[in-house]
Amino acid sequence: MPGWFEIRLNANSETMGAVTNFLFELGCAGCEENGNEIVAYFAASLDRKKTEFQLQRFLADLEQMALLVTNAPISKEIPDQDWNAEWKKHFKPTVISQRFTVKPTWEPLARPRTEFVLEIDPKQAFGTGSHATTALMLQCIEKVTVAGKSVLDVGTGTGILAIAARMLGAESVAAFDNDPVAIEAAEENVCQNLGAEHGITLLVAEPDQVTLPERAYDLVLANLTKNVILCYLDQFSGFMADSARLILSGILIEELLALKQSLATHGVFAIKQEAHREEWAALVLQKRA
Amino acid sequence: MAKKVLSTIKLQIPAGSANPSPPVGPALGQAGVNIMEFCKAFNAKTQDKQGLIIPVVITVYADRSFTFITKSPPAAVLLKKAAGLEKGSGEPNRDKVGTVNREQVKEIAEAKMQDLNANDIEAAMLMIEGTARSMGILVE
Repeated sequence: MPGWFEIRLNANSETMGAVTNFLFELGCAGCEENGNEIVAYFAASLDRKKTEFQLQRFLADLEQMALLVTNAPISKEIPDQDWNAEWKKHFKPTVISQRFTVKPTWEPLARPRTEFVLEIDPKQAFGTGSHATTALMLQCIEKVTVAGKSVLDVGTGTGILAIAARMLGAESVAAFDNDPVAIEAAEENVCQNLGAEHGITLLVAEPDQVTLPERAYDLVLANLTKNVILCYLDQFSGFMADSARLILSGILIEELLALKQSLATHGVFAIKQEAHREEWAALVLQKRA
Repeated sequence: MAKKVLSTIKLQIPAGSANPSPPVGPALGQAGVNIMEFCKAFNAKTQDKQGLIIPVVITVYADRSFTFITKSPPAAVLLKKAAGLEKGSGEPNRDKVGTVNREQVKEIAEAKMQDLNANDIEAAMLMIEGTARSMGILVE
């Protein structure tokens, strides 16, 4: 099972920056600062003994320079776990659009106030419905024709949008994500909501390498980030039938103008609708015939 | 009424690629924050700084909501850039790997003034000089 090891040590205001920098040069994935304490995390695949030795040598040199006197760093293994467990205690059923309520799989909901209820266990994947971008996507999906259409969800996360599309009557749905952990969560969520005969194809893949069950989709969903969206515009176009729709979110309102300019230069898509929520935006595009 | 602050979390993580693994997972998870929501927002805000380590301060409120501010790259990164280095020294007392001048130290101190716990520019410069020495970078 892949895991982590952490190294805890103290530094002072003079050496904090250099110590942190050295931890990153040793391959640290990221660190937390609590006052003078640094907690650095390393993938378990790194050589822990070698990392500790190099750190000790670095700290010994700092001590010789009278820059740092510290206790010996403490190192310990950290197993992979569901870091979202604490947050999940506060995840409650929520109405997120006109037709959808999202609820955690473990929470009862006696009287739903919307036509559809999406049951989600996010595990370590994105898409609980509580984020503005997911709500924007659902809001836009409700405004286009989904019944009888073929739908592709790019970067599906928990599978929430793929499930919603199927609930709205999509004829076929394919969804992919480059994160196997997300697809594992999506598989469970799809079965939880739609049963074993769910009719959704789930794949682990990158947008430029994916092999899809259909040649051209009527509706493509992509809740990503601006740069990723721009990077894959040609792929999105390639996934789509003429006059098909593309719904985008994960776009900060402050970067919307730049995105629209890039879309105009690209020339393949016409903007049909725009929606905002908090600091986020969504666009509904149509592929030009 | 202002929301009650539960905790403040300081992390340094690579721009544009935050994920639920450590340090984000354990730090935000124990505070009850929706980790993936933070990752989505952080990655969107820092997507143009790919390859840089970004210090970020996250404020967690009693209702488990959060806000965050990202800071400029760490002083150590600016020092490496000023000295034309890819890495600092692994043995800073024995192995000096580069040099910066006082003017460069002043520029970095000014750039990082807001993030440093220093009363004036001289105190900030002393901190930057300390960071330089700790990296095996000489200050001329």
